[in-house]
Amino acid sequence: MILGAGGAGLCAALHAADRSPHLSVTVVVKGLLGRAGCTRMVQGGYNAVLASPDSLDAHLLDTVAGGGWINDQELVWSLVTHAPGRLLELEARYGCFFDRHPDGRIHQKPFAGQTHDRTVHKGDLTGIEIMNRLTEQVWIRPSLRALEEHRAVELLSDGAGRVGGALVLDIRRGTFTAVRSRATLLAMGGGPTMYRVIACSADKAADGIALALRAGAPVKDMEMVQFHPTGLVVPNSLMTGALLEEGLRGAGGRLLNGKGERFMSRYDPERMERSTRDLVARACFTEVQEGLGSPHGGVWIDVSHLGAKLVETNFRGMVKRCRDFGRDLAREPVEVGPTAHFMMGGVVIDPSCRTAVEGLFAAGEDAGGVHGANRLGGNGVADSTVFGGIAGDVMAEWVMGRALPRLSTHAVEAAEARILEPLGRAEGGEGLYALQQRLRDVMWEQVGLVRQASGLMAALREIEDIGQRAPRAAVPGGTAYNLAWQDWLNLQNQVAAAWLIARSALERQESRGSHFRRDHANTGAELYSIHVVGGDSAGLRIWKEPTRLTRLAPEAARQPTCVEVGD
Amino acid sequence: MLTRRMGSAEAWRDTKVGMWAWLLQRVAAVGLVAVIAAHLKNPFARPVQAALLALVLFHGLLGVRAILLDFGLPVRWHRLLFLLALLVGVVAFAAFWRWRWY
Amino acid sequence: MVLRVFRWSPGSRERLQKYWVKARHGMTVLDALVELQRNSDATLAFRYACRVGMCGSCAMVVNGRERWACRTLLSNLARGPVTVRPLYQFPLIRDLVVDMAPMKNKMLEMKAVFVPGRRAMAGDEFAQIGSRSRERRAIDAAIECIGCGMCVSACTMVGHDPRFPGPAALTRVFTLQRDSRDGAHAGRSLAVLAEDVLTRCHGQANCTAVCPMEISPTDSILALRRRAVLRLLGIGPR
Repeated sequence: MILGAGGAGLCAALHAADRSPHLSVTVVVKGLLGRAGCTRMVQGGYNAVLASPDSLDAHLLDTVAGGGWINDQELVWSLVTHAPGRLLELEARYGCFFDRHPDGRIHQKPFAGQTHDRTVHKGDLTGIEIMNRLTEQVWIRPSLRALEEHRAVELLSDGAGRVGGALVLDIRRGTFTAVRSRATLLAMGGGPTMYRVIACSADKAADGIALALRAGAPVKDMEMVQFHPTGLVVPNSLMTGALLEEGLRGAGGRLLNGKGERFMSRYDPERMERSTRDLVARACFTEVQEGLGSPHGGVWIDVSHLGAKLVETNFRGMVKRCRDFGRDLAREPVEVGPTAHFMMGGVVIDPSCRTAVEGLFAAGEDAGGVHGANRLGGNGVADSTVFGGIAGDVMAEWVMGRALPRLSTHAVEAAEARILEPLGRAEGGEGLYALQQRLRDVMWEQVGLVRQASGLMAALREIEDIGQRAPRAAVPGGTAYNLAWQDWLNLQNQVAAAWLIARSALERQESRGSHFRRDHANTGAELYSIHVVGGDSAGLRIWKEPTRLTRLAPEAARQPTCVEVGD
Repeated sequence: MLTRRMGSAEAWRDTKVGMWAWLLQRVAAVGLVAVIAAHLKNPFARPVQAALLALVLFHGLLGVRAILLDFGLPVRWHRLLFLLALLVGVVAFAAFWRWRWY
Repeated sequence: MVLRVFRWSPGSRERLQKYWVKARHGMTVLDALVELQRNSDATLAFRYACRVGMCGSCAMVVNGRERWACRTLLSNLARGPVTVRPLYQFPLIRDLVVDMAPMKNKMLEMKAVFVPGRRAMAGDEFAQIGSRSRERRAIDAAIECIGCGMCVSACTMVGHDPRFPGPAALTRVFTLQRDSRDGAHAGRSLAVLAEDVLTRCHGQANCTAVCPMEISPTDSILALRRRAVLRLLGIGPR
């Protein structure tokens, strides 16, 4: 069983089906097959080493240096060695198109933080191409069954500590099915939707992280949440947070605060707007916090001095995106602000995608360790397709000769009762969406781009309070296609992940990659990851796990811990 | 399943140019059948002659538009072609009517 | 402002329900629906995912025209009440939510799925097709489909003839027939020569008018028709 149907979920399904066609594989997806999740939203592209002078070692080094040296280097090595093959597979077996040179070679563009031109793309809509082609292939394989608009609400144990399936809710009808499975993959794509401003798909809710935590699988690096500096600010609209490409700054775009000052001169006078992404994002955030923001709580990006024609030809998609909202990017400044983009942290896995819990696997954004403290642009979709494929292969082998587990009906009934509880409950107390807004506000203010111990502790108290109230919120309406009920489920997963982020951020008393502590602004010498494991009775356990430098060690001259990244 | 119920105003609310072009050609075809019948009865009735000429022109020119698109003219020109067909139709009608030989 | 929203659930009658929403600057149709659902009527059902115009989940008929709710500003619509209905030609699930499966089924009927050809099957090297080649340019113009179903809803022929595969499936067939890496051209050619396929398009270009990705399914269908004619005459590509 595969939970989630982004790049990781679909690659896993295809690999499992092609490895042994007589297996029955079920894909459970919250939305429509191929349309949910963030792989679809990838603009930039796919990092893969295809030709010299680029090399696998260079890709490894770039990724590890970008990740602040706390990546799991074996996972990174898997990523860089499998990426070229997976890319070829996407093209030759599934029929993806990528942009090419006139002579037919695949075009690779430079992406920040990388030493070579490595990023394969299809215009600025690479994700749509990849997801469309994967979806078609899933359709035609008879052994693959997709449960669209279904979501896993609980992982079910077989009574011997193994995951033996999941309780699945049909969103359309509001009915439950307990699905037994010999192997279960978490590929639900993380998703920092517990922040006020987000760039990722709005249907995500860190479901996979919350399920893994409840099932007792350890997670790591949860404090590492990447923020992108230039998300569109559209007051009153969900569109807020949608990315404006980083190339705008690269091309010479200027960032201005509410008073019209090029404020980057106070943060990085040398590189100005071309400074690294986390630094720019933090600078924008600080300006707004100090009351120097634009009218709607952002800053201005101005590219009009480059000439309207140049902007319109080079950034067509961005111009269209702005124009739909009445803003002329080519001729006037546009309001932008930092936006929560990607969770580097996730479930601890080994290079074959196994988690610490038998029967449970994880891949893609749900898994942690590949990107360390910061992700390079173009490594995201590579991660999901590479590890999705690995998980599919491994799971297909792993289930051989294993019996279908038995599930306890008692656990199923208990989970159903818990989930059905809020329906029809008398209204009163704080509403669901008020609680969600509280969560998003506190995460943004205290656990966002700039953190410190006092704020994190206050945030933890707030999150715990919201966590207490959320299950008690009332949900009007019935079970069938009830958005409020779905959001009630989402909120609890978001609270669980939010707590992990805040708690891990408190634990890491240094600044590294995307994690910045005002009270510990320096990067320490020690390399470690923060692990958290949940469980039934013993409560949560948090510990520091030293990073194993299995392939590379930071050189004496320190590598920069922050790099500029694309999307 | 919802279908556009052509009896309702809602279905016609956002009728696009391409559909008008198609409809106009079909309506002209149906009109032609009636007008030709009338024309056979009495070829010298002036209003029937005018109607015949107008309908032949519109139906024919809209047909030429469809043929041009079929042969590979980019579809993004189809509105322009529709306008052209109408214009040419009106001009040709005026010219013919003025030039009548009898 | 007034929003008239289509409501239906199994066992009840179709109706348009009237709501008041305070229209604020920058608000889209999707924002208005979300606000209604959160603050006035929690039972209202609609579908959305990415909310920035990439997933094609929130297609609906707004004021008589197929649009993506997340990218349609209320202020860009004509004055007066805004009418929101689900897409036409798809089975209803609830309120504005429709079942997109028929579109997928039509694609499968038309074999609109990539099948690796012999060279691609060897799989040891990338195909060498230049970005400025005619093949790639023809395909690029038609490939960025987000599967929203607006073209199918806008097509009058889909409503008229249930066997007509519709613009989305035929556009995908076109990109595959132009794709030299694909190995199933012959079978697909036969599929599109069936009675209710290519001949059923009347070239009204309603699909092209509503496509949010600026694809022209009409062009694709006409191109397929030309290929079919040439093939029947024995002078064209298979």
